[in-house]
Amino acid sequence: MKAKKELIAMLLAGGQGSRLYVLTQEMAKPAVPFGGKYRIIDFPLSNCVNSGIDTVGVLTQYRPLELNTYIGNGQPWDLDRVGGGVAVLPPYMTEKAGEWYKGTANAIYQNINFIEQYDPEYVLILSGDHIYKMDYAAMLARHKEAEADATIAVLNVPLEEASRFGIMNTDAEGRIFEFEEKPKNPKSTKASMGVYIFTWAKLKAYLVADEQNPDSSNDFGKNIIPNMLNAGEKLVAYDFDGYWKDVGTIESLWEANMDLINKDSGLKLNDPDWRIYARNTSYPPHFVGSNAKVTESVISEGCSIDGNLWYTVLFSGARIEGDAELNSAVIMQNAVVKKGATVKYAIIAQDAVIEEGAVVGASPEDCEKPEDWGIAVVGRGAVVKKGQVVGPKEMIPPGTGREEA
Amino acid sequence: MAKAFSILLSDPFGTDSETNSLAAFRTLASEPFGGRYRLVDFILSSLVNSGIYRVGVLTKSHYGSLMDHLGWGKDWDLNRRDGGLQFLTPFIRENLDHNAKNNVDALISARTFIEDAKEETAILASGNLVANIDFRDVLSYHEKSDADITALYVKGRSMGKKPSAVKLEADGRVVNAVDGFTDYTSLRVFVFKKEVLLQLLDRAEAERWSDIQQDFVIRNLNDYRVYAYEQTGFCCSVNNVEEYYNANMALLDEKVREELFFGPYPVLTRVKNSAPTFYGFESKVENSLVADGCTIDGQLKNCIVFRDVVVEKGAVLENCILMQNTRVEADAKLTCVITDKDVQVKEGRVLSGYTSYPFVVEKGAVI
Repeated sequence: MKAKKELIAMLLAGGQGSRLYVLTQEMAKPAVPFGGKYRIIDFPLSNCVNSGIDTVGVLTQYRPLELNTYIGNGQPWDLDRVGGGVAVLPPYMTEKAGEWYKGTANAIYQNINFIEQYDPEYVLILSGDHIYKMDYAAMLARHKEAEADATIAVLNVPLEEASRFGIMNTDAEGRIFEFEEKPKNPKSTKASMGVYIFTWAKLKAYLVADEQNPDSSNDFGKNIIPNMLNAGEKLVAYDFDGYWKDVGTIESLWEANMDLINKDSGLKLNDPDWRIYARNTSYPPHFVGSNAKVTESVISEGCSIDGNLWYTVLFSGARIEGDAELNSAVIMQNAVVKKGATVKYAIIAQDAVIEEGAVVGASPEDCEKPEDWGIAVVGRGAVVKKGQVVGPKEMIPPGTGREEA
Repeated sequence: MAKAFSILLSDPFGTDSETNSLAAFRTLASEPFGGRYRLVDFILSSLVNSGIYRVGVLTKSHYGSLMDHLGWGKDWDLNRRDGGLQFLTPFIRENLDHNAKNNVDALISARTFIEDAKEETAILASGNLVANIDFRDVLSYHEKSDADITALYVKGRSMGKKPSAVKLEADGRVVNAVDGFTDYTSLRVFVFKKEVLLQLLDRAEAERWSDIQQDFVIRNLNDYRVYAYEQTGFCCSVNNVEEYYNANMALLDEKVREELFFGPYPVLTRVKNSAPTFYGFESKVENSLVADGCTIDGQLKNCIVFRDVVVEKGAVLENCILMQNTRVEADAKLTCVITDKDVQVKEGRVLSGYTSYPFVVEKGAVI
């Protein structure tokens, strides 16, 4: 018998993240590295633990190996628990059929049995796409106080950007009376963050009903939320004020990394009261050599640096050799930039090698036409050969140029 | 199944130790080292990486920080149902001081742990050794030699001030041990057949022995088969401030870092989850080792910087070791200084020691 939980979290981690291109060719988006030593999924998981949530189901589907390995038994997040903890929930076969998760709501529907083991009052629905620090306990307090059926976290976005988001139109008390997905003429600036708390009994009823409708997309935003609104359920907004970024594109992932350097961005990770936990790499401190120059950069453990770094984020174990020039670069775990190579406005994925004198990416001011510029990406384990040039916006698939052993 | 269990001494227990300000707050094993470690991490990681999962830690005094650091061994994978990490703290016994006077007393108090261990081989080591030791290799040498006792040594006299030298036969058997000019220095790491160790413990109590190396090993060269195993790669023990300083500075050598940290087996430590380190606009850093969680705006040369250290603009540091949470304010100048945890050096202060006598600032001090 499992102990009853007031609230459990369900983290939707099955998405491909196709707009991250070569970075998600071999792994699901939540497993994509971020910020020197983290993966995207560390943020919602750490938020859960810091909010006092000790039971998290992680729903996986697309390329789950990397993510499963990373989550393991949940020990880095203190989620190896006697009752609860972290559970990875892939789609499964049943005696009749078995199917992939058809949509976000269907993924939760298929795991009703998992949820009911804990007999929870509330269920928190999260996604593995965002960088933010949020106290879900405060959101639950709001949900209970408002006696809501569903509470949706919202962020005030600039009006000109509002048409990119799902917008919640609310009354003076914060009760949602209308939801518009990417409205052309937004009536409000309250964008849904994809963080929901539902009263479980209510959500279960809607999931079961939605499943009966063959025309449904089985999606929270498209089906469940509108259905609840139409039926007159009480949906309230929970205002979030802080750093939040969707890192679903190459540009936004790069920008969010750069936000670690920019002190005004509002993204502060070294917060003793709200630690972001990550699986540890067992590296020694990083070493800065005698000829290195490191300016406005963020460096992790295990790196060794002999080159020149400007506005650069180095992940654990990265190695930058002498006379290498890095500017506005994101260098992921164990990547190597060899002597005299140049990396500008680029993301170099794990274990990639930029050989001597190679050039990856360019500054915006080096491009004649603004539309020619973009972040260059070198996929995991790829090798950019000596003297090779990888232009702006170019993407090198994982493993390219690696000699087969 | 693992062949061996281990007992670690968290302190030198009076033998070979010199009064030093390092141990004022904590037992030597939990002395912060190398930017993110405690000394004990090295021997503990070596054991775990070699498949030894029953480790008793013998403590004497000031071991609060050690218990805090090791916890129940989670970060070393020592939270085992069978075996794992066990603290062997001082306790009162007839005929013995409640606080062991020497390392033999301490070992006698661990007799039950030794008797209860399932494995037939015991590894005895100290928590103040900086090395990455492959005990699989040591144990297979011990077995192959059919040794009762195997002593680990390094070539050369670089370690410590009082090397205990040994004379070896061609096959590695120790026939004589002298204090003098030979090329072998004991690491005070010993492998015992469990039955031999228990026999020796009986005699130790009766004959009031006081030092494991002298009385258990050297005294018995004729009665037991004592073999010597050469440990290669970087290796040193830390007993005083000078050795501590030199061992830290040795990490600035790439070869030493390669041997200790980048071999097949990592050095494990307690995970703190600090964010990566930030370097500001005016930072200038040369030949330094810097841990996570720091903010560096000043200048560093030949420094070892622990987690969550802040070095403000205009501060100039050379040959310094800054432990966790040290804060060096603007324009301060520090040369050959070791700051313990939570030290604050105010704006413009000038402090200097010398490489052979580094200036130590005690925990929590504000200068």
